[in-house]
Amino acid sequence: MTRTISFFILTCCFLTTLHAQKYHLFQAGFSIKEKRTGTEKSTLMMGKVSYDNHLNKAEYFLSFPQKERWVIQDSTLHKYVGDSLVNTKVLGQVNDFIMFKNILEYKDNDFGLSSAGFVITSVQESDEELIMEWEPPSTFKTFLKKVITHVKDNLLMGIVFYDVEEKEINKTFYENYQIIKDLPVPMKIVSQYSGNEQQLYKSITFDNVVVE
Amino acid sequence: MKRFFLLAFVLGACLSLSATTTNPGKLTAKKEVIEQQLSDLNQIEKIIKEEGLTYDQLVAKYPNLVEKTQLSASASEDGMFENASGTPLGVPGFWWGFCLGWVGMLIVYLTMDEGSSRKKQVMNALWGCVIAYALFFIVYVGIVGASLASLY
Repeated sequence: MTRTISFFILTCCFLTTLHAQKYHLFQAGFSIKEKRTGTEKSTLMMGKVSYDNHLNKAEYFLSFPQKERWVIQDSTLHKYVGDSLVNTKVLGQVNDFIMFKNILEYKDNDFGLSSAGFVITSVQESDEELIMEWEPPSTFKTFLKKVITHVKDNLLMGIVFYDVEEKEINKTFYENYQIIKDLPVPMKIVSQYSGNEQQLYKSITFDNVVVE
Repeated sequence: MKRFFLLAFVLGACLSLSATTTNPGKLTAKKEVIEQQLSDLNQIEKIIKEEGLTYDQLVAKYPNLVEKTQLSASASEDGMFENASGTPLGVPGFWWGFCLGWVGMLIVYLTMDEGSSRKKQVMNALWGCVIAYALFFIVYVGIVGASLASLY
């Protein structure tokens, strides 16, 4: 009996690993729009992106506002104009990689909260829509009060983070899901970051998505 | 009188519950606020896609729109990756260590991905922690010293 259970667990782990490693390449046309209050400045970037999960490398082929190629690997950004390297810069952790990773390794609809130790404290259900409230693990409780997720048709539609004073610090919404191969890919992601004095509004859209 | 207080309590509880309850409609409203803020940029994106304009051509043809949005002439990685600069809530590692001591260091360590950035921020948190304790020691010695001096 113990052997059977062990075999079952090992098989599940193996299949999960296989699924996680099924796709490693994400390519798409993209646009990124940003508006920042305070300075009231905005940016619009358009082009194509290619991300390789195995190499942990992303290439951005910008067509607007100027033609440039950005190669990001190992937290280092190399900027090229034509074939000439014009700038190299060390970046911090690159969040957009996490976004690509999440898409390629799609496992759940909770933004990875459960695997990070968050616990569901309440669930509201209506017409195949779920609003879930999550309590953070003790490590996060010094700066995070709760997280709300919105799931519709088993797809993550939105997530809101609240600080200890119950102020929304980040909200992100996922829209226009398309099934590419067997992966649900949100073609539009809009978010708002709330700082002490500034608000940052951001929208990312994809088209012609290819996963391999 | 008891009934009045009971009614007031029940009403208050209901109101506070409805205030904290989130529903899909409320979330949609939040999303629409963001969309509204980005509506001019959506318009510019549509123009660029339809007319295939460069930045200079856009400025020449739609100067008011560019001015209204304060659209940047260059793509900046600062804007693109700023929210991803690594530290929890965008607060530098030093301040996590300074304000929360070893707990702050732990938060920085646990919430960042492995890499040179995490090492740097954890070190910053360590320095914050050390400086906070040093300041505490100086203040403590100062207060004790002043108290002792006042006794003699």
